[in-house]
Amino acid sequence: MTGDVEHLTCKEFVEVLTDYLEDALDPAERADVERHIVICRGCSNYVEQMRSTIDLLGRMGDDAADGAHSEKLLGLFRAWRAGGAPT
Amino acid sequence: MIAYKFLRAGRVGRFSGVSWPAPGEWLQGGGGERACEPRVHACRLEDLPEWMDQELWRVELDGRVAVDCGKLVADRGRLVERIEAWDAAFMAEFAQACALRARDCALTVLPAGSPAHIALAACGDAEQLAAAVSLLGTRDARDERAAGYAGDAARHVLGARRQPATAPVHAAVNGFIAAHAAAFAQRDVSAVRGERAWQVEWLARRLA
Amino acid sequence: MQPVAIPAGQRPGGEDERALVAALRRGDETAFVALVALYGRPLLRLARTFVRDGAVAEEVVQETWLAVLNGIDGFEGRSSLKTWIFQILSNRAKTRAVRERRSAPFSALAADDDGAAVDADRFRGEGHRWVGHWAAAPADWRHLPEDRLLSKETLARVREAIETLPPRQADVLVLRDVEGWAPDEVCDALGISDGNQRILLHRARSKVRAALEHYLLEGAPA
Repeated sequence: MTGDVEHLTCKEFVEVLTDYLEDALDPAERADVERHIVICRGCSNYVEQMRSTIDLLGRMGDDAADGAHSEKLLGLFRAWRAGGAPT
Repeated sequence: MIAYKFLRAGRVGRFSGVSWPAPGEWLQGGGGERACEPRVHACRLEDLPEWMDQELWRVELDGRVAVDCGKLVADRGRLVERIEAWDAAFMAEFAQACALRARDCALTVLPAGSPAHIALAACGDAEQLAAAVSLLGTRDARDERAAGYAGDAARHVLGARRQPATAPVHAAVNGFIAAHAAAFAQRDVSAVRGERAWQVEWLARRLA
Repeated sequence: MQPVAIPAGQRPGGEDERALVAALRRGDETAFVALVALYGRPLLRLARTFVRDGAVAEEVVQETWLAVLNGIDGFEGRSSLKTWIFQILSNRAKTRAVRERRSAPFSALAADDDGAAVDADRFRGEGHRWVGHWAAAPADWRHLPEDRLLSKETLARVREAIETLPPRQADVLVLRDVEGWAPDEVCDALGISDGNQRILLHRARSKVRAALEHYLLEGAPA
């Protein structure tokens, strides 16, 4: 039978969550994490908060590219090319 | 082989997010090499207390089947039938049974004949237990802790009844609390095993 | 300049990379445009983790592209093009960061801390029957209205949180979670081990989550 008083605490859980999401835990550790989620709404909510956080981070990349910056780079390229880029 | 499977409402795996097909249709695991790789997971009877969720199904497993980390892993599985007895009311009953077990553990710690002992012994259900523990005036740290586990478990029963959607968590945590309380009362980590066996027996008798 | 639509995190295969390098050597403008579309934004974001000031970060990126162009003939393909470009940027940004030290915010100077993912006072302390378990449990964000979670204000808060991260944590978080790079690509680009990458990612994510929690609950549970 599994699950005993050596069960993961919430304090330990929040420290291994990244490894869990990165699939870097061995099967026994993964089972410990999942068994803890089953009994702990706090940690279950924490996982969802972390997922939402990662989702929001992914939305940072939706900023439009800076047009002025791009124009400068194009100018930079053309100047480099005109400066006798060897073929 | 036949086994058990807990799923979220709508036949969804809690950790995989996978939607299980209708009963009879096989769900293929990912066929990974490592144990616990995307493969189908299921429970033996003795694993039930630790994986509780909203739906309980009988499931058939096929291919390589192994026991790993307190669950079964198989190449594929299919739902056979929903165990209708497993509902919020049943989970609350299990939770209460565990709360009373935690109470029994507290009784082995509290001095016989003390007001605290008498109060807890008189409790017949979770409401009474929750109330009794909240009114206890124990000064001994060990007594307080033992009673505290029983009180926590009692409150989880009330939570399960108040919000049936949360019943699986309350049921599961009470299994854990009762096991933890037994180990504490007996000052022996291996008491957990016996407590879990009691829980499995309780479930088996009612779900068969 | 028409940006070529290439999804973030895509890795040109060996074939595509060789073709890009060859085209660049020929002075092919569309090859340069494609490279900028692929890496321009992550380069700028990474530069900002080193030098905070947007204008300075842009200069660092421009210097990087120039170095890429000037060095493209000598590029032997021992590492991937992507790794090479980002290593150039890292080196330039670090040099520039040292020069700009006067204007660097305090947090950029701080060593990466060993802070716990969550404040210790959120958990039950020694002596409690549930030592190590939540004293003030995290809330269920699924109960938040979706437009609150995805609002401009929330995203701005996330951006702020990234900017206060120690630089090495910000590097990893930006490349992994903002730009969607794979772990091994990040390790190559930053020259760090997988274990180190995960630790930095862990600390960064934990801090951003905490900042978000604080913002969403107007002063998180005590």
